[in-house]
Amino acid sequence: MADLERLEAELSVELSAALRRYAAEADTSIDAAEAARAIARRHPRRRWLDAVGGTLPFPIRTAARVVLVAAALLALLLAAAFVGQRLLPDGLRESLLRGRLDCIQTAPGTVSTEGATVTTTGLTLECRFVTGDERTTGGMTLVVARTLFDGRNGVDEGTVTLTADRGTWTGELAGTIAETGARSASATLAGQGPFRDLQLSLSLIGSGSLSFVVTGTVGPSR
Amino acid sequence: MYEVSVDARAAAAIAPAVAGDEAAFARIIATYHGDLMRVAYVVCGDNELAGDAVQAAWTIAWRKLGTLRDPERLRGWLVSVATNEARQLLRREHRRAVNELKVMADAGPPPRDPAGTIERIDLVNALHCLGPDDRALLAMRYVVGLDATEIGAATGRSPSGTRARLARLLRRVRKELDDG
Repeated sequence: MADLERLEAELSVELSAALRRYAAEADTSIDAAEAARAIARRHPRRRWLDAVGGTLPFPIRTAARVVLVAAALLALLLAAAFVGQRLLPDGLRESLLRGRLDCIQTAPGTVSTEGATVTTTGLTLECRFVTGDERTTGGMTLVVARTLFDGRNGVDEGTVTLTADRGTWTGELAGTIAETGARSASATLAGQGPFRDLQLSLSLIGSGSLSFVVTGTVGPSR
Repeated sequence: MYEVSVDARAAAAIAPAVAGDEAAFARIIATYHGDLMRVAYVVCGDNELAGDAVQAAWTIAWRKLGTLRDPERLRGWLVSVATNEARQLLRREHRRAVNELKVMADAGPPPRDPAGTIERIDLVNALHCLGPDDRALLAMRYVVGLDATEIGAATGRSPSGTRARLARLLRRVRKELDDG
């Protein structure tokens, strides 16, 4: 420190004067307004980045920009996933939307969720389809697969009614469920609107001994 | 050397310039262009190179002005940007295979007396013996008038390290001038 002061005292007045005279040879003329305009035109600001912490200190600004880019990527991924789900094959969507089907017997007979042996002439099942996802939309296909024990008797008529906690759902029996002696049938349900707790009433009228399994899957509307 | 109000006015133009106000940026250019050119000239020893370096420095300043945390450091920051550009430009120029010969193009104004001529020649010779970094240091200290703390902040050195280097530099310049 003292060394520098001594040296500066000895030399700097002379040196700085000489340096300034030398530096004065520099061409300092400029049209500042024109220069600023030209620079701004050639180098437009990256406003979308500058907007994110443009005046913040370096580490914070960088972190803010990293967060911005990460958020943008995440949004992109979510959008892709949403679109992808829309475009997924039916089978995949069904597995994504698969819920739980619980059935209870509300009419004479013996029935469980897995199956039932019916010895009476009438049976009514009330099924509740729970997806756990209230955003679930689309159609629903309920397959009623029955195995007739003796093969002689079967279901000769049936109805399907649907109620949903939200939205409008209707159902109809399809296939061969109305045929006497049918070994399987399906009830196709279709509707619109979100549902989380879908209740299904299935009435089967028949005679003889039979067992059946009720399974439900949710798939896209057809 | 500088009126406080001049620096304060320029510092006040930072925020609008960062926001894209060309007129505010023009005020900053008008305030400091002379300093930048003089420093770059001492580093490069050539008006054209100095002009190129300072033009590049203004472009960088336009883009990165928002990163300047302390508005009071504007002058030192701009000088360091111009100095860096001048040094890099000089390095690139030295790598070129073809050297352009200048016929007294940058000899400067005619000296008033023979002693002045000798003084300039001695100084130019002494400067040529120094590297661009050292010339930049001298220019920042004795042309623009930055102190060791400002130079240290601009060059990434500690103030004490800057003082030590300046002292070594002055000894060397004195020796070159004495020998010359």
